[in-house]
Order: sequence, then structure tokens, then C-alpha cells
Amino acid sequence: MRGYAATGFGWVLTAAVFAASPGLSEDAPRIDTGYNSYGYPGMIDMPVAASRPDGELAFSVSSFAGQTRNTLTFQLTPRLSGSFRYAKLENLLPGGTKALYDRSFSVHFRFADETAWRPALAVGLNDFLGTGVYSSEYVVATKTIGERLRVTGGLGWGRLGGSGGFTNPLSFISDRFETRPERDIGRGGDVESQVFFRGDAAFFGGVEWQATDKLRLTAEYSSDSHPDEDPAAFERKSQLNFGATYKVAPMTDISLRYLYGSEIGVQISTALNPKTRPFHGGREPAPPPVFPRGAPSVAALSWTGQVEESAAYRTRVAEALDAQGVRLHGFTLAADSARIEIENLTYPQEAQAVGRTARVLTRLLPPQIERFDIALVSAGVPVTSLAIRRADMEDFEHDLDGAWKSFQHARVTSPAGRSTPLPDRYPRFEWNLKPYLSTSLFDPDDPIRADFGAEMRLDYEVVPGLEFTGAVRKRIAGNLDESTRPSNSVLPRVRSNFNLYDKEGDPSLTDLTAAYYFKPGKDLYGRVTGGYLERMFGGISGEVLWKPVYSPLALGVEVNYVKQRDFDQRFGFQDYDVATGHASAYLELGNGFHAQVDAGRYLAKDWGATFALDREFGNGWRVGAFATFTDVSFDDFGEGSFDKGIRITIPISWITGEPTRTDYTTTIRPVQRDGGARLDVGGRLYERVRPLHKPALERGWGRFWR
Amino acid sequence: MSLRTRSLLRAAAFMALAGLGLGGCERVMSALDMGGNVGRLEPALIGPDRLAVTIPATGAVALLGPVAQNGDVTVWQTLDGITLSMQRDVLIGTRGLGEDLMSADAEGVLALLQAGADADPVPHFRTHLDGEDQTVFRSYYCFRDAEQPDAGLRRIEIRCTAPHNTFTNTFWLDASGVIMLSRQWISPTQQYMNVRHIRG
Repeated sequence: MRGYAATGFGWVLTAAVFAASPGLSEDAPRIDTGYNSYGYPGMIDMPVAASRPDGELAFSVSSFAGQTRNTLTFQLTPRLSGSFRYAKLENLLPGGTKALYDRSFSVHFRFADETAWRPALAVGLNDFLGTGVYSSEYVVATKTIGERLRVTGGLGWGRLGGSGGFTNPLSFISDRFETRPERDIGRGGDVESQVFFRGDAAFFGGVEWQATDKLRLTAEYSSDSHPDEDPAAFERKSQLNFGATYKVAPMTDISLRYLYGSEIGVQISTALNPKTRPFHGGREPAPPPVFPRGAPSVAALSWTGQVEESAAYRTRVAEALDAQGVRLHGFTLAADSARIEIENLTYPQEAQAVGRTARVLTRLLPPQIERFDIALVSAGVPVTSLAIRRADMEDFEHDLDGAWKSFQHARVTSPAGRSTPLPDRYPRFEWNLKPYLSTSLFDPDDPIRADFGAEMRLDYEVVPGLEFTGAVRKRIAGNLDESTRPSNSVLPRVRSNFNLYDKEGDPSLTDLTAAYYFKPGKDLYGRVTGGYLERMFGGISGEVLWKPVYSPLALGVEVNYVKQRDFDQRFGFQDYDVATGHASAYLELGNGFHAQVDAGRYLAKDWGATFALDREFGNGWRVGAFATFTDVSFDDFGEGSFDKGIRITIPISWITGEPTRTDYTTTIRPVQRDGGARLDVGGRLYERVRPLHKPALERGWGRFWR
Repeated sequence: MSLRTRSLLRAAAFMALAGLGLGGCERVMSALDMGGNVGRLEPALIGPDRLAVTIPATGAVALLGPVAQNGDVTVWQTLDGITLSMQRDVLIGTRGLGEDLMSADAEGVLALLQAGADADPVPHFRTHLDGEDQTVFRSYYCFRDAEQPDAGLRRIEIRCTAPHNTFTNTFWLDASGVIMLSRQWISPTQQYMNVRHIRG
């Protein structure tokens, strides 16, 4: 053997390995579709009948004449996008300089694609939930002419039918389309479907010219009458707008505009697409190669069934798995098979943990072991068992279609009974110290507030399934305590006193619980949790989930009895207590879409249901929306009329390329009130169990051989 | 600015906008337990041969030793946890490079190398993972170009084409048909690698 160490064995310039750049896709359209000033696909103020690439998540800020709009837009499907907008409208309110803050939602749906003779067609609704400042609807057609020119024309209603309006053409269907009823603004949040496409309509249109690959020039005729802004904030002299948009980075545009004959406007839009990973497959080192039996191997010993030998194998397997970021939970050798229980501590895809475990086993176990039974364990409970033939590992390691073949040959079942942990697995104590960031959005006094600090979390696992956990937070910097708005809720103040919790809870005990996880039967999972469950409530919580290992459907029931905690978030309680709970149905719709319905009693003792729809990308990104309707009237609920919001989960592995299960989730609510508020208990079963079940394993199986 | 930095900046910019204040610094990440969870395997060599490999697009240079043999496929490894799987010196897989070649079939290419200059083209398949961890197959047709003598070796080019991608692999064979040197395509970000097989 040569002295390889002396000859520079190893990548000298590994850091540069990821640096090269792929070319632009050849299929990219010649004319870029931009985001308009309202943040949805459009020209300047007007829409276009085009969409952004599927999955794109964009943030845009536009400003002119004191009108600032911040919009988050998600291309939910190739045809449908949804936007959430937070706007500041200055100089609107009578008598002065006070600004109006407005939250609104939009949807844009492209229902027909462009053909040689027909334009693309799209329809959209703006501000269909909020207080109605931007309330409008449109139908729009866009046709490309040549390679660099695109013409758009459409018909707008509401705000988009305000300038140059004429009698609604839909009135030939029914006279009721002729007038647009005054919106009963009330508390906002009501879906005002009775006003959609009613009242005067007006034409709008425009031309976009892609002058170079980076520069796009736009001229449009706007039908937006700015009923509230003109003349309070600015004066419209013309309905013609002109703009230039320059691509400063592949996903970032800046725009400069001349608007309504009197104003200059600017906009910046930036986007990312969860489907595109900065680090491609990831930066983890290569997996250990499979050792075929018969090849020179470190495990050429044979196994005679001695207990001491089993212990020696166990130790070696545990060490090798530990190096791969997998914890060995149980180990049993039989005559021709090995049962291995593992806990995946590292990989976002369970399939990768399974693949690396099976590779390690081919290297270390004696040759007469023909089959690996690998059980995936979560919180001491065996959730899924995969039977993998050792010969398949040897045969498919270098097979062109090895991923699919190995999945087809693996038998995935729900293991019966309990786990059989190693003697040194329990008890185990762990702690960690991490930074936290807590934000509060949309307070008109200060639209973004945040606290930053340190969180220490303790975790003590006593026996399989029994865990004591707790966390303490200490603020380092922030301004959440500056909020001075008292709750004006007429409901029990189960959430709306959040600023009192922010103010008084430093340091705070965010949670301190004892939890027991168990498997009461085949396809059944159970949890009982007691203690300080979340920062505002403590008590006891019980949950049972039914989910077969192969099924896209799961059903669950959760029952809780909780008492409201003191604002200082130490050990005391207030007088308010409530029995709350839900029956839940979870369904994987396919293509990454997940639906969830929770029906039951909420913290303010209101009864109702929450509907949620999330799109989950194969790499762990999630973007979703939810809405809760309860028997609390919209008036009693207060601002917003009902609870709703959007939520985004960003896997840290997507950003860093390193394998890690850490992710960051944020929920954005236009307003936090007391109706439709659910207990926020940790360890809910569905998201613990689902990633270990067959549909998720199958989707992630491409990583089995990584 | 490289793509990697730009993408990171983009992600970071987005997260800052989303109200999240985590940076991309490696040290911060390891302190937060966000990386470095998977150890690099010490290569346990099974033979005296070595591969001297360079990847010009990234500037990587390495010597690899054989760590596993499965049929006629040898897995070669660097010290820092990158492996190349070679079927009789034709690349069929990489791991640890980021945009890895997950699998490929080498039979057709190996047959072309042994065939005459007028050999019929052969189909060739390669797989990689997309951004959502789905396996993507690419199919090519590979043509063998005329053989050239080059520094005492036989130099053979094999041109593989698909609608949006074409690459040309070059092999230098000795008189007995053993591959001594090669230049082989990996993936769009890694592009080509140059391989010299040092027989020990």
C-alpha cells in the first residue's frame, strides 16, 4: 500500500466544490412576469393573465404618495396564487396626518393558457376579507406578440371599475349586478361575496416590452380610481402609468414608475422558490459503502449465538450509527435476522436514516444475518418497521433504479408491542441553550416588534415514552413590552392579553411538562401530558390518534382541562379554567397538499372548527393557511371577525445544506383575538408519526442511497 | 459572487424579511447544533490502487483509495468523505459532492469502448435528485467517435446527447483495453472530472 497520507490524500479545495453555477433554463419565457404594486402578478397597478413559477414565495414592497404596500405572495399551484398584504395608507383619515393600516388578502387564478390565437385568461379577487379599502375584482387577458412584447387588457370591478366606469355588462344576466352594495365593513374579515363583480365596470390595459434580459418597460391604462387616496393623499391627473423594471439579481427586481401624471413610485420584489435548494442534494459526507458478503470485510466473523458476541456486535453497531447521526435504541440478533431500533436524530428524511443504518449493518453483522428489521422509534414508541433483505442492499447499491427497487422490496409494517431498549438507553438527560426570536406584527403603534433572547431547554427521558421537559427564556433585547394597547375583547381574554405576558414574563417558564407516549393498539398512538403546557395555560392534555402505517388519512381526539397561567409565567394560575378539546381529521391530498379539520371547543369556550390547508414540499418547506369559525359572532370576535392566518415552515437544512431536523416555523395572523383560539400543547401526535409512515418514506426514498 | 453565496444571501434576506434573525455563519450553526451531525468515515482501504482526480469547475484535487468492491463496481473514497463509484473505471455514482450523480448505467458505454469505430449508438441513463428529493431520470444516446492514438494510449471519445444536455467523455485505454485515464461528466454544477487510475 502506498503512503497515501504523504501524497495529499483528500480534497484540497473542498470549499470550492459547491461554487459553480448552472446556466439559466432554456425554457424560461422571454418576457418576465413581474409583481405589481399590490404584490400579485401584474404590470404597475394592473394585473396580467400570467403566473409566477409554481411554488415561488415572494415579498414585495411598493411605495408612492405615502401609500406603502408590503405583500407576501405564494404561487400555491401553477395557476393559483394567494397574497397577504399589509399596507400603510398615509394622509387618508379626515383632518390630518394619521395613517390607516390595512391588512388584505388577494387571489389570482389563471384559468386558460395562451395559445397561438387565444390570450391567456385570469380572474382575481382583491381584499375579499378585510375592511375593503382595496376591494376589487377583475378578469384579464394577456397575449404575447413576438418575442419581447406582451399586451394585456381586462375588465375591473369595485376599485378597478372606478375610473372610466360604465354600466356593468353582467347586468344583462341580472339587474342586481348594476349596483355594488355599500360594504358593511363592520369588523372586517367577512367574505363579502355579495359585492363581487357588482357595480360599474371599467376597462384597463397595458403593454410590456422586454427591452433586454434584465430591463422591462411598461405602460398601462389604470382603471383604479383610488377613491380614498384621491385627493387626500395625491391628485390623479391622468390614468396612464409608466414604469421600468430592472432585474438586479435572478430573483430580485426593482421598479421605478411615473404614476397618474403626478407621482413617482418605487418597488422592490424578491422571491425564492422552495423547490430550488441552494446546496442541491446537501453537504453531508458520503454514506458508508455496502460490504457484500464474500468481499473482504471487517465483519468476516460468524455468529454463534453467544450473548457476549451479541453485545460486542451491539456496541460496534451503536458506535457506527452514532457517527452517522442515528441513535441505536434497541438491538436483537436472531438466527438469520437482526431487529434494530433506531432514532433518527439528524436527517430530514427518515429514508436516509434507514438507508445509512442498513449500510452500516451490511458492514458489521455476521454473514448469516439475511434480513434487517429496522424499527423507527419516536419518543420510545416503535412507529414503523421496515424489513430489508441484506441481499437487496448488495444487489441494488449500484443499480440504476436502486431507489425504487429497494423501496419495492422493503416490507413496511406497523410494529406490534413495545420497544426493547438497550440497557443504557434510559434514563437519559439532555439540555441545550439556543437563541429565540419572538415577534409581534401589525400593532398600528409599531408594526414590527420583536424580542430576542436565550432559551434553555431540559429533557429527561426516564423510561420509554415517559419524558419530562421544560424550558426557560431570558430576554436579552427587544421591545415586545412596549405594547400599550389594552385588550378590548368581550370574550374571556384567553389570547388577547398577550402583551401582558410579554411585559411581565421575563424571565419566563415557557413550559414544564411530564408526557407519556404509548401505543394502545395497532395503528393507535396515545399521549398524556400534564403541567405547564404552554406560556398561557397549564393543566392536563390527552390525545389518541388513529393512523395506519400506509394510510393518507388519520383521525384523532384531544381532550384538555386547563387553567390560565399568571402573566409572569412562573408557577401561579389565574381564575379562568376551561375544558377544551377537538376531534381532528388529517388527510394527505397528494402532490404535497395536506388538509386538516379540527372541530371542538376552543379556549374561550366557543364551539366551532378550524380548516387548514398546507402545501408541503419534498424538502420540508411548508406554506399553509387556516381559518377558524366558531359560534362567537363576528361582532363579539372583534377586529377581523374570525381567526385566520398563514404559516410557513423553513427547514434549516434547506438553507445550510447540512442534514438537520431543525426548522423554523412562523404563523402570521392579521390580528390575534380570543375567539377560535386553540391550546398550544407540545408533542401532538400526527406530526410525530406521519414522517415515519409509508407515504412520507416513499416520497423521501430518493435519499435512501445517500 | 458565486451561486452559493447568492442563494444564501437570498435565503438570508428572505428570512430577515420574515422576521427571523439567523445568520449563515458556520460557527453559529455548529453552536446551534445545525450542522456537522454526520461524521466522515475513515477510509478503510481494501487495495493498493489509487485514483488521482481533479474537478476543474470547482478546483477540487484529490487522491482516492478503494474502500469497497461490489461485483465489478469499486467505491473510491477521499479522506474528507467523498466517494466515487466506478464500474470498471466508468463513473456510475458520486456522494458528498452536493449535486451528486445518484446512479448511472455503464454497460452500454463499456461495450462501446470495446467495440469498433462504427459501433451503433447505445442508450445511457443517469439519475439525480431534484430539490424535493425526487429521483429524476435523464436518458441519453451515446456515440463512439473514431479512436486516436495519444501518448502510447488509445484515446476514445464518447459523446452522449439528450435534448437539453450534451457531454463528451474521453477515455485513454492501454493496448489491452484497460482505462488508464479519463475525463467524465458528473453533473451541471460539478461538470467534468479528470481521473488517472494509478495501479499499485
